[in-house]
Amino acid sequence: MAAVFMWVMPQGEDAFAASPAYAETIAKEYPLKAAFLYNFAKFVEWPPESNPETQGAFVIGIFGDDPFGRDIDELLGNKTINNKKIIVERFLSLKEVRPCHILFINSSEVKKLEDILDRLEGKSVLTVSETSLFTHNGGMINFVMEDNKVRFEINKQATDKAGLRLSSQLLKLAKSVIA
Amino acid sequence: MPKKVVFVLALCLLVLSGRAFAVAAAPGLTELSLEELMNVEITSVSKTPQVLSRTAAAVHVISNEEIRRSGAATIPDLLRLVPGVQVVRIDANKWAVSVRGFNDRFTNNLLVLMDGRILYDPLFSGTHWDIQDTPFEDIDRIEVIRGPGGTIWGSNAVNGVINIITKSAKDTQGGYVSGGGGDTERAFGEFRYGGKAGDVPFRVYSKYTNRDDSPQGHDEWYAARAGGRADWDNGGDTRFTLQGDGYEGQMEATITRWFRTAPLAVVEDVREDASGGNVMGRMVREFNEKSDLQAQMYYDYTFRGSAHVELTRHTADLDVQYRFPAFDAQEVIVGGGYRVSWDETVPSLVAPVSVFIPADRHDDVWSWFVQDEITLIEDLLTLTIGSKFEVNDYTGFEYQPSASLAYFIDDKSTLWGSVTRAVRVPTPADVHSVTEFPSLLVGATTVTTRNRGQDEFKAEEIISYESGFRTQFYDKVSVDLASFYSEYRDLRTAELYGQEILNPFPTRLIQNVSLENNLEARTYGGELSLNYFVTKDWRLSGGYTYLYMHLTPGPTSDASEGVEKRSPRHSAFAQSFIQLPWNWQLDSAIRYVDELRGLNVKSYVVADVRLAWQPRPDWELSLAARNLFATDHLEYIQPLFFETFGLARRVESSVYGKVTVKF
Repeated sequence: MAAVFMWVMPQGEDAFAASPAYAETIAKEYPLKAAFLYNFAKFVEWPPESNPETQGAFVIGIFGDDPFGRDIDELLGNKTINNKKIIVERFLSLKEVRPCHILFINSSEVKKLEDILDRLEGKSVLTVSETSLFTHNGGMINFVMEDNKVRFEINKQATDKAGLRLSSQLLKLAKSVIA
Repeated sequence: MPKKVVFVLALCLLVLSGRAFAVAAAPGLTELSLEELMNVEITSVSKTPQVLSRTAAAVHVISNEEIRRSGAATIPDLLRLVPGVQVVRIDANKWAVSVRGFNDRFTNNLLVLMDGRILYDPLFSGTHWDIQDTPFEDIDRIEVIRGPGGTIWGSNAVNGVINIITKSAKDTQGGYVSGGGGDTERAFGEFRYGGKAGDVPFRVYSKYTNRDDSPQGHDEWYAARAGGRADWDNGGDTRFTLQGDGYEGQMEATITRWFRTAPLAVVEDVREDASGGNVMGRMVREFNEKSDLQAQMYYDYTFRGSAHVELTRHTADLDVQYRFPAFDAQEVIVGGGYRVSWDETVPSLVAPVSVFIPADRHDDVWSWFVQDEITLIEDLLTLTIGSKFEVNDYTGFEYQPSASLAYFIDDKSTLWGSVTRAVRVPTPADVHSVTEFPSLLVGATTVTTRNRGQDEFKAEEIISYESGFRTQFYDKVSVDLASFYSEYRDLRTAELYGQEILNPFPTRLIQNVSLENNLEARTYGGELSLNYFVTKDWRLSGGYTYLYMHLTPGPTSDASEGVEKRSPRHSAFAQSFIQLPWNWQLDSAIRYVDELRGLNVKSYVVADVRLAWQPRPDWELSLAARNLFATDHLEYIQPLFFETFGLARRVESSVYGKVTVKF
């Protein structure tokens, strides 16, 4: 009889983890995505005088449930963007959402995207999420997974409209761009 | 203080606090460029990350993207592009898949799992590749482990393990519909919707496939399935998964019906059916980065109504494992499991051939395992030792130990070696079956072979010595080389005993055959796998497999000699994935398989091509052509057996189109 011990997930997954032989490094998902956010910040130019409310800080907002946890504070807490210290803020409801440089929207909140965009109208906020068709519905950068690697899509129409300038390198690395 | 010293100090502190990897690795992420970040892999669950290139085993992973871009429509077709795996299509609804030799429809030494649930059917002594399927879009990856995986995986993982792993419900949010058709793939459709019930991500799916006859064959078939999965956590350290599906299918087959009087034999087309379902729950509790507790339970129901015997099987399985660090540099995993199954067999009314005695059975198996991974020299040398123990109803106590050593030459190169003993525990077919099938028809005389299982049937044993080397150059090229030498003992043989005359006219002879363990075998070979990332948009990969088998049957053994000539000595493939401008993709593969001398099947070269276009990110149109060049080739002839009865079914070129829409 097939007496089989199930070497099941997730240990089983990890033992032969997801990474084909050419993988170089392996990481947890959200610290990695946090590092992407940090890199986006380096490749996007915000209009001068935008976001005066942030008082000289570079604010990354997280709307909805926070998948990053403390990792993002540990990773980015002592980093700066254009000499602005990075601050991570969490917004649990739409009312709490305040202008920031980057707004990560949890996929559970994407249905409120229109309201969020209304609220950010005229502000230069880079919206980021990880939901299919996010960029088609007015979002700016969307994470997608491909072979356990993180890729992203860009909606350049939306970033243009918000006055954000994206470096050509960022556009080149995107999986797809809505121009 | 210099930065490096701070880092080392921080590392020490972190090691002391027991959270070495995750946190120490994390600050490095912000030092990486965007391009480098794009090459970082993530673990699909937040557990100890392990890089595959460090595993001391011959492992190959087919990713979701490779699955989609292969253009393959069945799981066996996907496995054709894995080094060391032999795949043949016997007819339109039957395949034989094996790893490192012994290929046959009734391959009983390969363990096949889906999300940890066993697909191998011990009554049938093989995997029903026609009915085992799931939407390809939701497969995260397929892991193929060549060589005995016995220590961890348990019995029947004698030559290898194939584990099909589906995505978490969290990663399949949103919906899609796809459908299409062609000549061989007459019609197929898939639907999935992923949403959230409160905070719990779930998905539901269904899939239907309808396939045409092979040339000259009456073997058209369809299969339909539906299922779902939900994954959630308690907001803390515990994650849960609940999943299940049900399926049904009908396959046409050509069988031979035998009569005691004229006309003695009639070849007839019949319709066979299969159905089943399963439900599985899983819990993972993570204490910290290096320690967790997992439990899984499932129930599986399988029905197979073949023209010869109807098999019904219920299985319940519980497994628990606990992982924890020990001393300074050891990681220990201990586990245990219990599995119970109820089988019912009913001789079919159509063409009864096999009888299981007793017809209804209840089997249970207890198992335990322990594995210890010892870091001998940090980042240089790791020793893993372990053993699996089990008690089963057929052979009692079995042990399956292994030891492996991994030497990390540098960040990108690993040299490994291992020694493993594994067993194949007998199945009801080996022990409790009586199979009668007419094997000769000479004038008015029929000779019926009566195969009888034996109570004394022993477990088959393999001891395998393996080694391998993996490396990569300039982030562009990766190479994976594995070699093995294996010794098998007590393999199953059919032994001829005396004849009986049942009926003087028309003469009916019975040839008694008993199943025994009189075969020894030696095999050796190797597999090479290559990947070349030519540019961001173009990837080449390839593989080569060499296999040598030498069998030594006992003096009275019948029919076992041909086995070594039923697996190809050489096989190779090359594959190209090209991302073209304007969202076009052109993917192609060319495959070579050596002749099978024992079956008089010639070598062949075929090509598969797929062209896809994404006019919008949520739309994909694709066209796939398979088995080009050899427009009509033979891959296998199932050796004399009552079902296909030596009928040769050829494989022809085919083409199909497919539309996928996401919403």
